[in-house]
Amino acid sequence: MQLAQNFPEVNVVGLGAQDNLAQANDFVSRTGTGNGEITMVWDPSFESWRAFGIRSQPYWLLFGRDGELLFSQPGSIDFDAVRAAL
Amino acid sequence: MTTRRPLGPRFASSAFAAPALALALFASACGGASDGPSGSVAATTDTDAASAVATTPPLADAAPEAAQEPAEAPEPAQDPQGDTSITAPATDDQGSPPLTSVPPAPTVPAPTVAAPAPTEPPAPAAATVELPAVDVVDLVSGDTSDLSSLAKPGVTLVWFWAPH
Repeated sequence: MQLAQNFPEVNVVGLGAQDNLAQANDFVSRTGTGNGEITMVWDPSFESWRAFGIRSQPYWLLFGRDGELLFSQPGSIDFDAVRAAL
Repeated sequence: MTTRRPLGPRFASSAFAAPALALALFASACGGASDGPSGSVAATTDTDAASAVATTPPLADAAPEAAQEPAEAPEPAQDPQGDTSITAPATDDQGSPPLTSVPPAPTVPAPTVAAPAPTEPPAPAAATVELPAVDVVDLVSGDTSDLSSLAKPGVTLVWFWAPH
């Protein structure tokens, strides 16, 4: 994943939901995101998405060093925003 | 009746003649009261005199020792003001210390303890993002874990995705 390669100091958590576990594993295989550069997990209960108020995907949240929420954006990840957070 | 046997010229000329003669006369006086034969008395006298001579030091030899004794004795310290009190010899004053004296304990330098270096205040723990405590499946290991345990200090990005 390019994000992890460009910003290895950033803790990236890929949080999937919807569908089923087999489809989630297939997605990881197809995208090459299961190589350990980022943490890829799947939530069958959808509870985590609800806790963050996520209703669509893709979506990304960026938290700063102090744990504060810096960005909450649908779509593609803004690398400039990540760089600015470092 | 006591018969005196004359002493020979060698005995008379010896240095022990005088004391031996005195002892012999003393023995004769004592023996005079007895009725024993005079020859035995004379023989006894000679033997006693000889033994006395052999065991008794000559007066001439003993006299020098007696004369030298006072010279060897240490003279008591004389108080110039006429004080006759006995004073301890000088050797006692300069001798070993009294038995009751306790030697000073050896001084052992106290171990020096280095003062602890001033420590800097601990850096505040890096804040971590709070992730919800939800069971999720790790797609790499296949294990179930708590999402909140995946939070780490530093910048965190959560990416939401779906398989379809």
